[in-house]
Amino acid sequence: MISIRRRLLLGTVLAVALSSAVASGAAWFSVRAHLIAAADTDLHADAERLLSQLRQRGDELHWAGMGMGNATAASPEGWWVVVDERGSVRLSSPGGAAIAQTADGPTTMPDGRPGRIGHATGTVTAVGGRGRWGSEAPGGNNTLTCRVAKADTALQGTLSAVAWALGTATAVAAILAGFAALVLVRTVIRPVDRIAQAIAASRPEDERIAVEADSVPCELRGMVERADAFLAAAHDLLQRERRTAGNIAHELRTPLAGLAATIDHALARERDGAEYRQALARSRAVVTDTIHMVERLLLLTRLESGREPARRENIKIRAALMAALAGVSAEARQRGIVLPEVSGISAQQVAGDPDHLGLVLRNLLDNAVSHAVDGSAVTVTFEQHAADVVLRIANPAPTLSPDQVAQLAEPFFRGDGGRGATGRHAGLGLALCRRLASLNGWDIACTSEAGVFTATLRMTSTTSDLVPLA
Amino acid sequence: MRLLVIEDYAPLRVALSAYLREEGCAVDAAIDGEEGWWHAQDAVYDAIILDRQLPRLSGDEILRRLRAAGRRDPVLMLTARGEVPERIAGLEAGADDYLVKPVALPELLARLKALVRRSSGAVQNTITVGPLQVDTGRRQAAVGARVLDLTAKEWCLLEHLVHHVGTVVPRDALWEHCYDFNEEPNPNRIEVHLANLRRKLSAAGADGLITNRRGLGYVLDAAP
Repeated sequence: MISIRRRLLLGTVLAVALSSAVASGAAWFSVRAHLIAAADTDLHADAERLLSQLRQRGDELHWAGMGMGNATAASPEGWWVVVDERGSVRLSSPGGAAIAQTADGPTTMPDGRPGRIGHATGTVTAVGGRGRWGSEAPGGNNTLTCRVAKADTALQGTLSAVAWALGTATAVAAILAGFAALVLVRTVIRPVDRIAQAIAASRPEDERIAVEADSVPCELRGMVERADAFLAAAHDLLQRERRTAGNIAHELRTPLAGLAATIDHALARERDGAEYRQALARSRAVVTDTIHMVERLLLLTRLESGREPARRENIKIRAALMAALAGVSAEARQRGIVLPEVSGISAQQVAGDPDHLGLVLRNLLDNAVSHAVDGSAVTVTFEQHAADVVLRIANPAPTLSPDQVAQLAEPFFRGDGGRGATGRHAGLGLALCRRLASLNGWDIACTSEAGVFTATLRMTSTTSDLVPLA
Repeated sequence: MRLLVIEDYAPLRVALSAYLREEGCAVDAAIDGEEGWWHAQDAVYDAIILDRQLPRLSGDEILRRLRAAGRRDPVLMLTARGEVPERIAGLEAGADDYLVKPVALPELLARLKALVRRSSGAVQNTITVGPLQVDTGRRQAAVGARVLDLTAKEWCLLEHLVHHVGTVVPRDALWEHCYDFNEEPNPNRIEVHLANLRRKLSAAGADGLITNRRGLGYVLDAAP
């Protein structure tokens, strides 16, 4: 692939050379035509002068030829011939009879040199009653044509000189154009080179291309801004990836530490079978939690990379909610937390993936129970807004700041800073819920006000016979 | 050695506390930052094992409050954040050591011993008091070539007295050093364990190293 620099250079030189050649050619033809026309005019004038002399001498045509030397004094290199209307030669300069060519234009002179022929035609009155050649009517008009031939060596020389001058000018113009093009191309290409080098040197860690905004030509500004935007996006992506990798490592370290500590403790001394079994059971619980967390991490990864498929079905909310409540009922019972009754829920259906709705409801209820104050109640309410079903899950909990609420959808963010007594809460639940909801066309919003945390799930309804749930 | 473990991840907290107790330490365990700070205010610890990311009150905040209160309890930060800036931040916040999870418990114990040794001003593990040689690293006491067979509590009492040679240690301080928060204070138990320790020392030929200053406490000294 030819570089832009070479293309511009070659194009500029060719364009200038071609323009010069065309201009020189036009000038050449114009000058040549002008010089030839001038030469022809001179020839015509010579011929007229000869005829004028013949008229002045009247019937002394015979003698007129003797004095033609005077007539050609101005053009000593000329030959001439006077012919009557029958084409008979009446008078001629020495050798002039050799001028047999009747048309004006280029010819070869009797001495072999290139020349041109011009002519003039006029009437000459024979006086004295005696014609030299016997056919003339005394006092009558005799139509005569005078052809004059002159060597055009000077004309050719001039034309050659002009041609050389124009050719040289063209060549010089082409060379100068080459140099000018070099400078021009370098000037034009410099900012492009600078930007190309900056782009080539940029890394995903950079937030923008390392070029000064003022030094970017306006034609390239859009491209640089776009490249900056891409780089900023890549930077953000990289930062997020690193953060996520760091968070994953962090989240895995803690259960691994628990596992290692449990094993270290078990192996610290000889124990009986019951103690070993207890250590193994604790280790198994840690492994189960870790597997659960890894599965959620994988799901989050699939969701973020757009590889999690979503089915589109009618889902019965009641069944999904009952299943989710059953999953958290043991912990709720243990901590004296009251869960809502589901008997009052109608056969309301929403559109979406049933597995995803199950995960969302389970996560929201799990969060609600985990963060609820012991002995309090988790509430679930339904509302119908046009074609939407709005489900609210609320629990008493310490109020979070608006910043904390805004960050709840960020993976690994935990409102209370810790992972909870069981280690289940790695800060993935709401992040997963938000992404699952988005995938299914639902929406989740969270609020934390006056000691109550509320998660609001808005879904598209497929029926409208809702019954409010206490 | 009286230790405070502040760790919100239950499996780690339970295993770590159990291990340290079996190694003869008195361990108080806190499940979040607030409980940890409450314990820290209530007692002086030979060392505190502190998680950094805690619910309710962060490890950094506990450390900041502790140092602001003029407390010099050695703090070992145990956290999953292992990046260099995190370690630096932890140490600059006032931690005396920084361990990244997961950690081998024997290594953690060795670091705790080193922390306690440094905080007591000792430069080496072996402390000699008359004919008695106490190796705090190997947790071994010997008189001459005879190694004493001590229980965890006896060792704990001896270790504390050795770190305060020549100083009268009140009975309450011995209790606080050797028993955790859940133990009901009972001075008689200290008396019993100290009597056993003195008997074993005497049998090994190191009689009279530990003396009772009535109404004040106990002192370990080579020349009472």
